[in-house]
Amino acid sequence: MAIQVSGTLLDACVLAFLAEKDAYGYSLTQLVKESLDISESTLYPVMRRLQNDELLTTYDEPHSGRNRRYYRLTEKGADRFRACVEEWKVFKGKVEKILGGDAS
Amino acid sequence: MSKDEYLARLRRGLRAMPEAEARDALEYYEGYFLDAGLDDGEVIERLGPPGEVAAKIVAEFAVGASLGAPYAAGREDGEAAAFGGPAGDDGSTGAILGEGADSGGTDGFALGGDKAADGRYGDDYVRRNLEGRDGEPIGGGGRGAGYGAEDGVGYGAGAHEGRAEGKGGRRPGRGLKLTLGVILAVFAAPVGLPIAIAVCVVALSILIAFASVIVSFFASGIAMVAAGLVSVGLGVVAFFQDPAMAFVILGSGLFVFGLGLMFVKATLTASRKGFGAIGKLVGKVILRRGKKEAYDEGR
Repeated sequence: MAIQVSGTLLDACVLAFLAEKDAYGYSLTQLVKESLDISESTLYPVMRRLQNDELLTTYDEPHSGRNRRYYRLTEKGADRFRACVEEWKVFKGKVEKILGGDAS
Repeated sequence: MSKDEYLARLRRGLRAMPEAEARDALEYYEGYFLDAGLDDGEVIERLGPPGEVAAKIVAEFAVGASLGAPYAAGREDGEAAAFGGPAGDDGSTGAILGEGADSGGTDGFALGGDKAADGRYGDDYVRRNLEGRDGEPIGGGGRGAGYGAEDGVGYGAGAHEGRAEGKGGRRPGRGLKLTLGVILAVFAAPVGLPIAIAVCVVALSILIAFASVIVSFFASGIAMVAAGLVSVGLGVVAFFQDPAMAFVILGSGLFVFGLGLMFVKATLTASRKGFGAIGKLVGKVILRRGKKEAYDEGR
């Protein structure tokens, strides 16, 4: 896919996936990669930032003799996600107007 | 490159960050390898060069820090976080006193510099200690002080585990690049400076050793020339008493004289070449280090 997604939009997408269900680093990366053109090392800094903004927390769960670190949306994260969805609707309309051509 | 080597390189790339941050990232990528369940080589290929992966992490951390985000890693027991408050409006004194997460926690405090302007924040970030057990705060006795610098960049210095990195950011968005650069430089200073000094000292001692060898060889060359001349003189005098003996003295005198001349010439040549080579070597080492550092920290 040609369009690079980063920043707020990528944050919102990550929040969306986590709103569905908790995930660990690798699974989340693969999940996002299925839909968006990101490199495999993109997500860690994003997760760290969201974590520091208290939008998500981590918990460890044993998995084949070690701990797997899962990410879970916090209350604040869920709020942010809902806000992002609203923002997106507005944003989508604007971009559609610019790029949509006959749609205007 | 094996998985272990990849992680080791990643760790090296992250050494500019607080220990806890670096460890969190390493744990993430270690888990990533295991969860992928693929050939290590394939995972490495998909992740890309460890230097780049590290650079992304460091950049995100530095940006977060410069925006004034309190990188307070957590609030569980054994973790202490100190936040400096906003700088004073009058621009004279910055934030004072952070709060330890629990008693016995850090007494980190941040001082805004004289030039501290309003809107600038100094916050102390005390890294957490993952090993810290049952509530023992890493800050234990460690004091961190952040200084708001003129350019709006604060940095902190602290002792041992209680080390605190305080970062005062300018208003978000402005001078971010500069801030980032300065933060990286500050992080790199504790490592870079001693190494630079060590390199200089080693280079100097090599130079001195070489110089003394040269000087001693030169001196012996001169001495031989002198001894040769004296012997020749003696030989001429001895001619009148004992011609046979005179030949021996004259011969050995000339021999030593010639040998001395060769010594002096060889020494001069060697010194010219030797000093040149040392100079080149030192230059190369310094250049290479500079490049390596730029690669490690800058990218």
